Amino acid sequence: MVRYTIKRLLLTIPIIIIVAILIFCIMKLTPGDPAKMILGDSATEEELQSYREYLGLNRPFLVQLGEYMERVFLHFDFGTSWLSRKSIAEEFAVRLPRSFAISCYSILVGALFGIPLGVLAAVKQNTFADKFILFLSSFMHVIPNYVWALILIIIFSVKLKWLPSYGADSWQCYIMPCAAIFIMGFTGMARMTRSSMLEVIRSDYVMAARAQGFSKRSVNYRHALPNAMIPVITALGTQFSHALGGTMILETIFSIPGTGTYIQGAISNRDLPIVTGTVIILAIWFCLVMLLVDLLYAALDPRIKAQYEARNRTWKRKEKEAKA
Amino acid sequence: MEKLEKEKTWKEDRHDGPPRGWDKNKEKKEGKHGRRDHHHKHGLSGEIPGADPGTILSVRDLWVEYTSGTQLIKAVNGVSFDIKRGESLGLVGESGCGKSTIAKALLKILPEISSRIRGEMWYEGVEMAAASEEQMLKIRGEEISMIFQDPMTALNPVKRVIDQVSAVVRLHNPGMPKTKAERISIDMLKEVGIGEERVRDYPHQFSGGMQQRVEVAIGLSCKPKLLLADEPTTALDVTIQAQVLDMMRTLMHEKNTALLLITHNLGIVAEMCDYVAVLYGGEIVEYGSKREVFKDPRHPYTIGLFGAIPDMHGQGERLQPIEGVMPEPSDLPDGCKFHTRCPYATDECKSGTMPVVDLGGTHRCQCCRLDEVKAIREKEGKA
Amino acid sequence: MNAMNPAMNAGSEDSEALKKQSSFKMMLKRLAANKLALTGGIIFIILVLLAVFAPLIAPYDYLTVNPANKYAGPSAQHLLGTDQFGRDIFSRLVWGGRWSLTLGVLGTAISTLLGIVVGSIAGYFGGIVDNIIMRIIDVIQCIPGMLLTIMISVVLGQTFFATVAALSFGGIWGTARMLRGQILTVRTLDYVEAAKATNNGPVRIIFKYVLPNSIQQTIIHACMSIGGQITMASGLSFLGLGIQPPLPEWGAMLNDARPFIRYYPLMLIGPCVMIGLTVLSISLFGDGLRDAMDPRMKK
Repeated sequence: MVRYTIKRLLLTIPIIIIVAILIFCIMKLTPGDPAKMILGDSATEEELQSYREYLGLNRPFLVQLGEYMERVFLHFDFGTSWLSRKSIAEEFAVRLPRSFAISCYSILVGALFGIPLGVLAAVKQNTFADKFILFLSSFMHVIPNYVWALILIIIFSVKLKWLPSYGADSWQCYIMPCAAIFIMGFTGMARMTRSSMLEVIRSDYVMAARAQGFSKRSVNYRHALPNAMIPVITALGTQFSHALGGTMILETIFSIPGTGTYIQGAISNRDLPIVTGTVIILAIWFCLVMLLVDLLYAALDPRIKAQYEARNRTWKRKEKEAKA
Repeated sequence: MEKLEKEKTWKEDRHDGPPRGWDKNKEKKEGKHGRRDHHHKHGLSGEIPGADPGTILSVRDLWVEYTSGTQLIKAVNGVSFDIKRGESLGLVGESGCGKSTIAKALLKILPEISSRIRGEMWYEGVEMAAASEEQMLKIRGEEISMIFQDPMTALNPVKRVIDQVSAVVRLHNPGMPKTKAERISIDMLKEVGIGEERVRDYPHQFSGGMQQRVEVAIGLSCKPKLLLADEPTTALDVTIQAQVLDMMRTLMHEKNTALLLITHNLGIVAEMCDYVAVLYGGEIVEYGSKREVFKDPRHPYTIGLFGAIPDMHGQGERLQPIEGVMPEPSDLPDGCKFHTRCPYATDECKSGTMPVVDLGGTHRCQCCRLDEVKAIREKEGKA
Repeated sequence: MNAMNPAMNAGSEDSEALKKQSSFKMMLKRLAANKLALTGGIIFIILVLLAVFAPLIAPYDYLTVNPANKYAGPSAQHLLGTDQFGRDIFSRLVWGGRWSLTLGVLGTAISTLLGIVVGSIAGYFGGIVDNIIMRIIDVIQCIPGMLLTIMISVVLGQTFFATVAALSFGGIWGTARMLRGQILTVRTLDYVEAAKATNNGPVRIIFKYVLPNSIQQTIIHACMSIGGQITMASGLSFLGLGIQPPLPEWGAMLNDARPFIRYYPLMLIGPCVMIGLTVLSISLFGDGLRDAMDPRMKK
């Protein structure tokens, strides 16, 4: 397993570098002159020229790319924003926790509610409770979170005036954005748990456990539930991997100064260092969380672990063959 | 409403029948006492009313229906048979004839919402069709246990083999220390041919044959008096099949366990069973001792089954497969269920109930044209 | 036994066609029996019809400004009232379906087709080709989907076709990955081996033997992802990218109406309901389709 982990970690490095290059290229392809964007229409040609010089935009593309990559990957320096001249790393330190908090709270609370509901629905399949949960999730799960967010604002800010509709100054500000994700998340979780649970309940070994004399309750909760949780936990991990990038529209709606609004503003200002830097951070987060998910999967399911180890053995064999 | 009424009628029927040999209080005491010590288990006992002495399982007029989507599937249609202590019965039939459903119905592990069982299933003085879930929990695994068809899917993939065996041992021996349960499990696994060094492996690390051995170990771990084996070797290679069957036969003989073997393979029946019941469309069309049925198959379906097996001593005769396919259990024909494929069928076969003809000994057959069939076959020089 | 293609059983051509037809009929039967799926399908068809016949149904033009009649409440003339420029909201919603639905359907169609191409190439050839394609997918999937779509949309500009391209690009990889997985399992089945042994070319094998067995999943996946694409398209317009106001795309209408949320929330409710109704109907129908196509997968 250690070998597998190291191999995966090493594999992450080229992926991140390619992501960085890709985003750099996309930003370069984006129409619009950054100097003009930053200085505004009133700037003279001379001013623009000197600003381009200052940003290093006049040098060949590959030189710019090489310099950027060197700074980020060798010195771990994301640089400063072209527009505000502020350090990007410092901005991250303030903004990342906000986006992170919104997604993590909603995912966790969603799992806390969704998983038990899913189990309930599966155990009581075809009863009223099951149908009610399915019905709830059938529309809550598919309607986009920005629609929920707007509905929540209309109800709780405009009509009832209970909650602030923008900002990130107090904990009340986080309730509605979290709720918007939660509404989608917990019903999705319930659906997923239900179908996973039903699949396991129908499997032969659960039937076999019943035949061996285990009570229905014990079969459901001690035999079926742990196995049914394996894909659910994996799905939960996948949700976390999207945690930092998934809140963009919500942050805009609620005017929360998080990573989403940060990168969005930067895209429209052609602020290359911010965009590339943010995407690198998001990609690293994604890769690490996915690695953790895979490791967790292996820890929970010995068959998956055996697969990873078998792959390791093939590598070892290939290495030996290469040496010989 | 209708269902309620029906239940009532057959409950009343039972009152008219012979008294039940099941004393709840006595049984409880005995059960508890028996549970303490794994090796001196008393378990259930008692005579089954109206059955020969020594009978441990008596199934009488068993009907099982279940719904799948909007369809009503009549899987088992009035099946009756007895099994005596230590004896073995082979249930033979094509896939879809209701074989597996019978086994699951016997343990009452069919999904409750979608399935319905009617009829009587006596086990050692307990009528299981009417028994409570609590009573069934004592019977399952401890008195009657079951082995499933596909060992790959019948073992929990994320638990070590020893834990799966000892969980069952501890379930039926509450209060037994974990170490002792593991000791018993290791011994049991050894008996089925799995060495101590492998017991902490996961199921996926075993071959199919080894997995099936584990299943046999789980099935026999609590020394049940009756084992239901649902196609126990169908998923295995032929050579491994023979090994597993051998092992099963030895163990069952040692422990005097009765066996209900479900299979589509007549060869396995010949090797393992004392009695044979041939199942078609959820009905037993022919029943008898192995000798009676194998020497003198009378039902056209049984004859067809034998015609589809190569004969070692035959002079290169063509195999004669049964034409057509089994009707869907949701769409069974009237009259004899086999008439759509039967070469001897006439209009007589297409409606009404087929009589069960006693052919002497234990041999009985459900067909309305037995004599005619015999005559035709003799004319053709086949019988 | 295993050497038979489950999608087209051995036998004469006639019985093969018959079997296919009857299994298709069975599927339709199961689909028709599913009330939720039927409701979803009917709602979706109504939404499509509304969009197609928008000029006949909408009482007003979607662009006609009427400064004298701003923020009018619902009335007989204006079913859902008017917006900040006095435009009829109901008419705009009806017209808006044209953009939102076309974006969703077109985005899904293009991304599914490209996904099938990429996925079958990776899955069928395997080895180095597969490895390269999968690493590319790894890289792309590291970037949050919405972000990637936004960036491409910014690069390509805010036209209709640019938006379709941006939406399609994001959808390719999921389909490709799923199809590849399917093909990898199907590829090892005996009947594909048998087809190889009888000297069929790779393209022929992919089209005749591999795809028919993997395509079911792909169709279900595509049907389900129309909703996601509509969500994405409206989200894009909501952020001020994609379809631009004054065109009445539902997301763009939301964006348009957002500043007035405190004073005139009715303007937001219409687009919200339309987006919700559309994705809901698609999801219900997709669920039903999945259950009907493969009854074993039914809950």
